[in-house]
Amino acid sequence: MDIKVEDVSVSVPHKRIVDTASIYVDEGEFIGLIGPNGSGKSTLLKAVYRTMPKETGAIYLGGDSIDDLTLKESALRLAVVTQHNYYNFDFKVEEVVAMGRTPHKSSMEMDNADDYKMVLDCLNKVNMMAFKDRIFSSLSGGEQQRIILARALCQDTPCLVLDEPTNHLDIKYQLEVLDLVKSLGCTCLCALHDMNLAAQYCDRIYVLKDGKIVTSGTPEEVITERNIEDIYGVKSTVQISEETGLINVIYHPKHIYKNDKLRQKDETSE
Amino acid sequence: MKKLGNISTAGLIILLFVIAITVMILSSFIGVVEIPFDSVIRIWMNKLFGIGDISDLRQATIAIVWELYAPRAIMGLVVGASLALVGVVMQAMVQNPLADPYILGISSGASLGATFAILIGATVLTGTFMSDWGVEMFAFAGAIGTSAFVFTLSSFGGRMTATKLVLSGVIVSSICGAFSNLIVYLVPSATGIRSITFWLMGSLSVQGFDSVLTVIIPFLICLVFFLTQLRSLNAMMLGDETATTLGVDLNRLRKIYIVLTSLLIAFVVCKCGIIGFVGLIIPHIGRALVGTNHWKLVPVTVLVGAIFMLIADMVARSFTTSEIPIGIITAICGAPVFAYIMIKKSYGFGGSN
Repeated sequence: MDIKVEDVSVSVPHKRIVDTASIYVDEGEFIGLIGPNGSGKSTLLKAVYRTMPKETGAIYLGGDSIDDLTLKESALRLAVVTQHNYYNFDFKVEEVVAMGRTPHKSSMEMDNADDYKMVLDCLNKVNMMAFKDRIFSSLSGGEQQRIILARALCQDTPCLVLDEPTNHLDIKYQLEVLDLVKSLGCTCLCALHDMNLAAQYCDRIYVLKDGKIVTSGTPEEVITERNIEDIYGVKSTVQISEETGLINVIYHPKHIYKNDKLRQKDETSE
Repeated sequence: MKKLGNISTAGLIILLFVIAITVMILSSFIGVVEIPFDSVIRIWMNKLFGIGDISDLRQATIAIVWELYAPRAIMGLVVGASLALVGVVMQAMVQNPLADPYILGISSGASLGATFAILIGATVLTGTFMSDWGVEMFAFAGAIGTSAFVFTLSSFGGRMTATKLVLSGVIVSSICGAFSNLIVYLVPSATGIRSITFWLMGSLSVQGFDSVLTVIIPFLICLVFFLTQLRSLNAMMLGDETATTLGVDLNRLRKIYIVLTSLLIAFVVCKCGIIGFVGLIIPHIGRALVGTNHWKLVPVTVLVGAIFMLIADMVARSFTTSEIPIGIITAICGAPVFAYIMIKKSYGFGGSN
């Protein structure tokens, strides 16, 4: 199922946060959304998963405009993993994951054995089986993040929106989570901070700056020294690793300018 | 569930139900007039299920038990259950463990309406059909009016969030409280003020079966409705954003929930005055027993609320010859229990470990 975002703008009073952004995610593609803090990544994703109203434009899930879908219908097509998950009440981990079954059920229907099997299955996939009886709020940030992913998996949707899913994770789980998401083969739209991860996992990347899509394309096209400087104002070296064939971004912090050759290179490029 | 050993939730619900019924019958045994316990049981059995023969009992005994004590006992059961139900729904609705009908301003709205009707309206409305139902109607208008106002205020300038909802509730309830007090202060009527004082502190007294019915019907409507909403209530507790992504239409459901809960609260406040603490505290006791999952929590909370209210009423009636307003008892019992479960380290507003 594909996701199509056409000329979408989102505003809060006195400020346009997303300005006529267009994105398409073909069936099974893993699409990255990068950009500086406050560039509107989360807001654009919120418009897609319908927690913020869009001002203009249209968003299609599998060809149907989300305006024509009930929340329940769109919840059957699209699951979401967000960054902040703080609950005032204590739910058990397995209860949180089981909530992913919500859109599949009528309001009177209780979870059955199949649902429970699916919950355990999803907990297994994110390696959190041992935590199933723990209280969600007692887990660490990274553990919570994986539980939220398990809930999204339990929702069993063809599309997945992830808003910086690797935020609280150590490097092992960053890779594990993204590997897992990629292995699902579902249509993915994912906001990422880490340029290297974006380059390594995304089929295509969109760059958002000040609410506008400034460039897009394959990782090779988008993750360049020039673009990184334009977008973030940071100097870097972008290489293709001989061993892995993957893009590797090395940033240039100030202290490395003891290396005169590099300083000259960065200065002349300005 | 740890403390309860291996009793399953279904077992717990059945147990609580049996306790609630037992306490209800017990509560009609305690009263000013002493009536033998077996007579009380026989009257209940006969009236409820048509079992046994009570023709050998004195008419006066039957009248006292069935027309004086029984309605009050049933009222206690229903009011306790109603307050607990509204409390648990509101806490889920605003994702705030401190929410209850009072915090969202619904009770104070009902109380302002009723105060107005008693002290000012009564003189104006005498002779019209409003003189019989004036208090109820004004309380109802107050409850619906304040909840509509809270709702509008909290969704002003964008989406309604839990924080804005709670703040609006605080704003509205302080306005309503101020106006209620102003009316009481300005109107120099000693008897009016006394009846209002009694009414503001809550009471289950002088209830015939008619007024019991006016609470039972909205209670049953709400109970049946909210029993179909357990899944949505669970999702709501995860926050506005998550609930939306799980397909729960929060804005629509909140409107329905607010109308239904204020309806129920208006009837409860009309018949029994403001009885605090039940809506706040009982859901927490429920969570300490069975956790946060509403499939278990709602039935358990409703039953615990009923039991709590019946016991509080028995205490209110047995301490002194003239009864103590029940709102005082619920606050005296409720506050320490609340403090205890809050201090207890294992208790984090919800689960059991």
